Amino acid sequence: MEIRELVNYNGFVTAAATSGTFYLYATHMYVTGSTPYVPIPVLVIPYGMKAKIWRVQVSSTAAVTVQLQFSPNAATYYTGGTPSWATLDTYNLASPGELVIDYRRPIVINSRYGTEGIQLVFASASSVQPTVNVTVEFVWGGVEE
Amino acid sequence: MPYIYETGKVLDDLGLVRDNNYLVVYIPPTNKAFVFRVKGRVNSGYEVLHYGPLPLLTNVACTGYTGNNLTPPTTGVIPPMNYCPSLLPPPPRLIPYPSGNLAQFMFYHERSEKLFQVRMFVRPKWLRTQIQIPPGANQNMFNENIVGVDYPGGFGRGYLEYVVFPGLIYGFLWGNDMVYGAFTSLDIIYGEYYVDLITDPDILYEVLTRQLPSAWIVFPVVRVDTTVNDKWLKYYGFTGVEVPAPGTPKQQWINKVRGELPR
Repeated sequence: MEIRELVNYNGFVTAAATSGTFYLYATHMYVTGSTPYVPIPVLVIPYGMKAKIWRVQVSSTAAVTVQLQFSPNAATYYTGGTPSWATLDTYNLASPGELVIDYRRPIVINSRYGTEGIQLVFASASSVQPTVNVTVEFVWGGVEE
Repeated sequence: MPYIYETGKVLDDLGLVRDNNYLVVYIPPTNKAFVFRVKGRVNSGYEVLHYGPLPLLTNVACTGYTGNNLTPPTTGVIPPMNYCPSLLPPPPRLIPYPSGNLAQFMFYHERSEKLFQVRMFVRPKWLRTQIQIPPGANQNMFNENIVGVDYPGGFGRGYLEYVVFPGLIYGFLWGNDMVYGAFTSLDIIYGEYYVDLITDPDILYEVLTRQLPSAWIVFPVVRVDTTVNDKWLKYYGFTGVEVPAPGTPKQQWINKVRGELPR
């Protein structure tokens, strides 16, 4: 049976900086602040599922560049390793405000090994504290899609 | 729906059997079946039940997919990269003070003329689901090997469907292979049926050879536990009737199964 779960992740950074990685939070995520119940910087796609990234929203009080990055070995982040990242898309916010990218065709990431995942990073000329919102649809069982 | 099929217009929009229709429960490991006539649905009009969080208790020992065994940090939360067992007690807002077996399994009953059909929708939907009949007995198999939520294969995600026979308690395993702990929830569509157990060989043959419309639900087991077998004998007097192979003459089949049917 095919299942689909649409999740909206809110990405934040804890302090202003010129670069960094967003921590992702969703309303169904159990968070206490103590490991392992903390917002996650790396989202690993469960084995055999695919993640469709439908929408990215970037918001900042200063110009910022956000990148959506993919790693085939993202799961190693949680075992002390260092994943290798490749950029899937870049979002340039040229001035204070927000940028919404609503994909007509989503970015699809297949979890072939159960280790694939994504992260969102930012860089800016000045110290900023941007936020992102990412809408991800998890699909399992849709083998013909 | 993965487990239930129909011949004729037998199921309603909720996937439940309409009144006054036949329901076949097929048991794959024995190639036998029970045939019921659904006389009426007790919960007609309120088939949808929001259970609330999964009954994951903080004293439950979960098993880590990568070795980090955790326990649910609070009731209803499944830890990251772990799978956890649970029973299915009634949700607190449904029955005030359940006791005995009912406190372990909300659909527990001891009436041969009653049958539950249950469809469970789990959130987040990626949660791996597995049923155990009875609790602790894995009922997922791949090519003669027992598997489960701890394996890449042999599990479902987000959904279970089954019937509840009298006298039995079912258990469950829930797996979360996501890297964060999650609040869970469970929605249930169920039919609480009053049924007649069909033992007339003529009707049985007609139903099992699809000459009479019926709903056909597969009992989700790969082996029949002795507990299950005993309860079938206790409440029905037999362990199901053999499903006729295609082309089997009616009288030949009746002669073969007549001795197995309760009188």
